[in-house]
Amino acid sequence: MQEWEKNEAFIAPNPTGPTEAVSINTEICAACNACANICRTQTIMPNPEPGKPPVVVFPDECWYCGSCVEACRTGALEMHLPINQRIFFKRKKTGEVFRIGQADAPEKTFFKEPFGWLKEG
Amino acid sequence: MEYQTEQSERLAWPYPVHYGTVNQVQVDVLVVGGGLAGGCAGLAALRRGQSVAVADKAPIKRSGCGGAGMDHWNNVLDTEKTPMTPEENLERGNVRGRQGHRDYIAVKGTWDALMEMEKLGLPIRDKDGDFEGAATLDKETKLLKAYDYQDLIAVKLRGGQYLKPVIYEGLLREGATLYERVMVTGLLTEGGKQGARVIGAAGFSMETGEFYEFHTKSVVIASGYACTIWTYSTEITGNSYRWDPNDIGDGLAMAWKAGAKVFGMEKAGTTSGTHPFAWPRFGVGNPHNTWYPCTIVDNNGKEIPWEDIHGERLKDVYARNYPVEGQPYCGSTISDVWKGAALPGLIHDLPERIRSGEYELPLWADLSGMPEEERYSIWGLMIGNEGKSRYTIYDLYTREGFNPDEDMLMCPIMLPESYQKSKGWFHGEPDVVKPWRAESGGAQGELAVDWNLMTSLDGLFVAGASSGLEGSSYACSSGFYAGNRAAEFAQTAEEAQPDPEQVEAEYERIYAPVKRTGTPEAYVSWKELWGGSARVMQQCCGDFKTVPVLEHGLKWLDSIKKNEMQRTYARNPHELARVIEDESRITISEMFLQACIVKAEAEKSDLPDGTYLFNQLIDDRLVTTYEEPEYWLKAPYQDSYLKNYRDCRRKEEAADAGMGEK
Repeated sequence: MQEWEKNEAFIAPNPTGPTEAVSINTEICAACNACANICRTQTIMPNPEPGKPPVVVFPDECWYCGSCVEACRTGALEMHLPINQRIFFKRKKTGEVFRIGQADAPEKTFFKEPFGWLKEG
Repeated sequence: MEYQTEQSERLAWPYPVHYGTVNQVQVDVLVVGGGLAGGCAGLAALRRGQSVAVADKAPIKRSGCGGAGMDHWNNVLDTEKTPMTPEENLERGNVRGRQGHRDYIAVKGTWDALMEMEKLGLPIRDKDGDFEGAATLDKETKLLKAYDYQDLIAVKLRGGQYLKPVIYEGLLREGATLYERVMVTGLLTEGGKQGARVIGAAGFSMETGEFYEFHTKSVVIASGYACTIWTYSTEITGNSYRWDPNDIGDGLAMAWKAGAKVFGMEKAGTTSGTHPFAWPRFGVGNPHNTWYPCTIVDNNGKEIPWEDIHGERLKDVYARNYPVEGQPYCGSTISDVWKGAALPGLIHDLPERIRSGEYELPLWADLSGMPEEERYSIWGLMIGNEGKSRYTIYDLYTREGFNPDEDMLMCPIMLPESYQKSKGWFHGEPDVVKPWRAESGGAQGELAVDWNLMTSLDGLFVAGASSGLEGSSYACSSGFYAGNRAAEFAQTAEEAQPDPEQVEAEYERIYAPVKRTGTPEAYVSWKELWGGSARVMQQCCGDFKTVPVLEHGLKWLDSIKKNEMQRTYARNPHELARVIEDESRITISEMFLQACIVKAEAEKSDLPDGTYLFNQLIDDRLVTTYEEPEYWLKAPYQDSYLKNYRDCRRKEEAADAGMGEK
C-alpha cells in the first residue's frame, strides 16, 4: 500500500518559507557535521542521534552564503533558491528562455573554476 | 531526515544545556564580533603581545558580512602611485557629515592591510597569467584593477573567497582564544557605572546556554551595522540580504547602554540590502558593483549605450573603465548630469527612453557580448569570489545550465526610474525608509570615535561597520588600527574587578526569557517581537519625520518593552539569542528615534549649519553634545591629518622597529 492510500493526516505546525534553502543527500552524507559546525545561523544543526546526518532546522534564517557546501567533503549539499528568487536566462543564439530551478534545465556546459581558487585539504 | 517536511516529533537539542553555569575568562583584549574587522583587530593585538579573546555568534572561519568571500578591495589611496592622496581626497570636501578622521584612518591603511592579507596567504595576484594583456591587469603589481583601469584605486580580489579563512588561520596561529557561538550581550564598566572605563563583558553560549563573564583591559566592538531595524523578514528573503543576519547592532546597543557617544543616528534609514523583496545578491543582470561594467541589452537585443559622468556617450566596453579628462580617477568626481554618479554608467535618460518605448523591458545582462577577459572578470573573478555568489550563483546557475559564453541573465523588472537609482545598481528592491539628513551613507548607526578609534568610553574601541566603516578594505584597515590602539591601552591599564551587581543584572536579563518559557503569559515568539518593533519604526521613523510622531514611537516602544517583551519565550539557546537580539533592536530603535528628535529640534535652533551632534546616556538620561565641522583637526588634536595619525601610531612603529615593548 502506498502512503497516501492509508488515508492518514496529521496536524503539523506551518512550514517555514523557504522550505529548503539547502538539501542534504543522506545517501552520501558522512554525518561529520562539518556543515552544521560552519553554519552562521544554526540553520543546519547536528542530529541529536550521533552518526546520523545533520538536520536543516531553520531554512528561514539561511543567508545562502554556501559555507556549508564548501565544508562538505562528500558533496552531499546543494543550495536551492526559493521560488521568488529564480530568475530567467536567455540563450542568445536561439532566443530560448530558461528559468533557474526548472526541471528540464539545459545541460551544464560551463566548467571553469573561479580565479584564485584554492583547493582546500 | 527532512525535518521541515516530515516533522513529527520534537528533536532533542544536540548540545548539553547548562543554563546559568558561569565561565569566567581573564584576557587582555576582548574582540566582540570576529568578522573581517574583528579578526584583524585580534591579529593586531596578538602581535603586540596581548592575550586576545574573539567572541562571535557564528563560527569565525566564515563569520561576518565578508566571511563568505569578497570581490572588491576599495580605496587603495595610499601608495606611491596613487593619483590622489588620502589628504587630497578629504580636502575635496568628502567629509561633510562624516567623521573625517575615522575615514582618514581607514583609507590610510587599506594598502598595508591588503599586503597583510597576501602575507596571510591570499592569492591576490594574477600569477597564472589568466589576465595577461588584459586592460584590468596592473602590469607592475599583477594586481587586477577594478572600476578604474588607468590607476590602481580599487582591486578585484582574486581569491577573495578565502579572505576570512586566512584571517582565521592567522588568529589560530598567533594564539587567539576563540569563543564561537558565544553572544556578547552587555559591557561591564568600572564600578558598574555608566560612562566609566570598560573592563569586561558578559554573554552566553548559543549551544550550551552557559554564561560567560569576560574580565578585560580593553574591548574592541566589531559587530557590524544595526540592520533589520525597519524590516521584519518575510521568511522568503532567500539570498537577498546583503548584511550578515547576525548584524543586529548588538555592539552598538551595548556600547550605548554603557554610556558611549553615538553619531549620525538621525540618518535613520534602511540602506539597500536589508529588504525582503530583493533578488539574490549579484544573481540578476546588473551593470554595477560586482557586475561592473556589464553590457546591458533590451528585450530585443538592442544594446543600451554607456556614457561618462558628463553625459558623453562612450565608444566601447573599455572606455567604461577610464576617468574623464580632469578627473583624478573613476569614482572621484560627482557628475553634474547624473546625480550621485562618479563612474561611467548607462545613459542617464534611460528611464524616459524606456517609457517612450525605445527600449523594451525586461533588460538582459549580456556577458557574451563582452570581450572574453571582461566577461570572465565578472563571471569568474568577481561572481566567483564574492561571498553570497560563489555557491548560490556561480555554482547553482551553471549547474542549471547557465553559460556566460552563450546566455544573457535577466535584470529585475522595475519602474523605469529605478534603473537610474543607486548609480545604476539593479536589485529590484524598494527603499523601505530612505536615510534622512544624510549627505553620504552610513544610516545604520555608528559609534563616535577619537583619533585612536576609541569611543568616548575609556578602553572601548571600535572597528568596521560598527563605526560606519563598511567594505572589506575599510573593515580590515580599521581592524588593524583599532587592535593596535586597544593593545596599547591594555598594556598600561590596571586590572579591575567587575561590579557584582552589574554582572548579576545582565545574568538576570539574559535568562529571563528562558525562565518564563512554559508559563501561560509567555506567548510571544522572537519573530513576533521583531515584527512589532519594526512596525514602530515603519510608522514613526519613516520618510516624513515630525517630533510628535517620533515621540509617539518612543512611547510605543516603551509599551512593547513593558508588555510583549516581558512575555517572549526562548525554548533553546538559539531562540534565546534571537530574543536578546530583539531587545537590542528595541534599544537601537529608541536611539534612532531620539537622535531624530534631537536633530529636528537642533534645526529649529540657531546652531550653525553642519554642526556635529552626538548623543549619549548619562545616568540613563539622554545628553546631546556638539562639535564644529572638522573638530578632529582642532585642539586638543593637531591641525593636520597626517600629524595626528603619525602621533597615534608612534608606539606601534617603535614596536615594529623592535624597541621598547615586552
